Amino acid sequence: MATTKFLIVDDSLTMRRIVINTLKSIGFENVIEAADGKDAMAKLLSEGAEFLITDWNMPEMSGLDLVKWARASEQFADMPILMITTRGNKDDVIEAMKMRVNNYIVKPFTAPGLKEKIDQILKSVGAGAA
Amino acid sequence: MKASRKSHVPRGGRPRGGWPARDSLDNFLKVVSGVIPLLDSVKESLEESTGSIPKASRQLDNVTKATESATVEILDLLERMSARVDTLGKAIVGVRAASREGEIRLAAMDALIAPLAMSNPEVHARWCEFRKSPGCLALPASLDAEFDALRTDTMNIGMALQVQDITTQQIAGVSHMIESIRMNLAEVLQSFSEGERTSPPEQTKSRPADPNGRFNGDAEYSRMPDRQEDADEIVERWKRGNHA
Repeated sequence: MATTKFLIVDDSLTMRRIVINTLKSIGFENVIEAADGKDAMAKLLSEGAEFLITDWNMPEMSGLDLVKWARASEQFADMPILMITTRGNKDDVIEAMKMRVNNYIVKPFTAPGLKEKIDQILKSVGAGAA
Repeated sequence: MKASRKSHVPRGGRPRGGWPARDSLDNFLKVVSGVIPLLDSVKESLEESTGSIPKASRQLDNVTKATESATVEILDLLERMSARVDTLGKAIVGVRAASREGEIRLAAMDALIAPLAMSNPEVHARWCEFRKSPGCLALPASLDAEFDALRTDTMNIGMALQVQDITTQQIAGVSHMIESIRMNLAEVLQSFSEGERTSPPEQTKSRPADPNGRFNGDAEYSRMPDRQEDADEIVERWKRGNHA
């Protein structure tokens, strides 16, 4: 069982549950969640996480702003970040890459697609895959 | 008599061609008096349309809430189903292990019975019959595949519920458009009222200046892999570019 601690950020309860269920089905049980960027910042600072999966469009604070904040911070500058969003335009993907997300998934995602991206990221940062 | 220069306006009368400016004014006033009821009617219609827009927005919000609550119920059921599938899966693993254990015991019995069966055809026949009986061993090999298919189907139903998030964003986009129309109509209505400016309702005030941060009105639910493949290509090119 993989022990990597994930933080799932999405304003949709449905999406959070789907992502969490998918993670559990591929062997990642250690998961916490947040409903928007601000909530995620608070959770990262109080509970910590090793892998961030975030939506883009959210109230209060967007996923992109959350990524900017994380990359600018000392503590989360190198944290693996996967963006899962409905935004599939070329410019959106480039903007996210400029903010140094590690990979990008366009909703609706599939379980094998999510696993592949997580494995790629964990491999690239040198952590163990599921 | 020297012909005097005739005035165009006979005393006490109107000019032969009429009063051009006065006629125009009369016509204008007629048009205006005809337009005023029309404008009143337009205003009434605008007020009615503007008034019904919040109701439309509320109805859209209700649709969003209803689909979210239905989706949560389906997810609850799916999670319970998944838990049961897992329990059954563990039970099957247990049966398979017991079955392997049984095979080992039967093999030991084979060894014990073999000498007896060689000398006694009836023992041999009964033992062979027993070995072939279905109650003795084995779940069908196809059970594992069926079980995997059940697990995958359960998972896929859950994944398909992503449609709820995507349609919620689409509805939010439509709501925002409706609200923009309402605001424009409200402005037109204000222009009907002399200097009387009504402040926009609270709902409008609370909307953010940049709605794109909250939702993606262009969200689409497509199971075609092309959007992800395009994104993957951009990500790969970006990474190669950055590492070059």
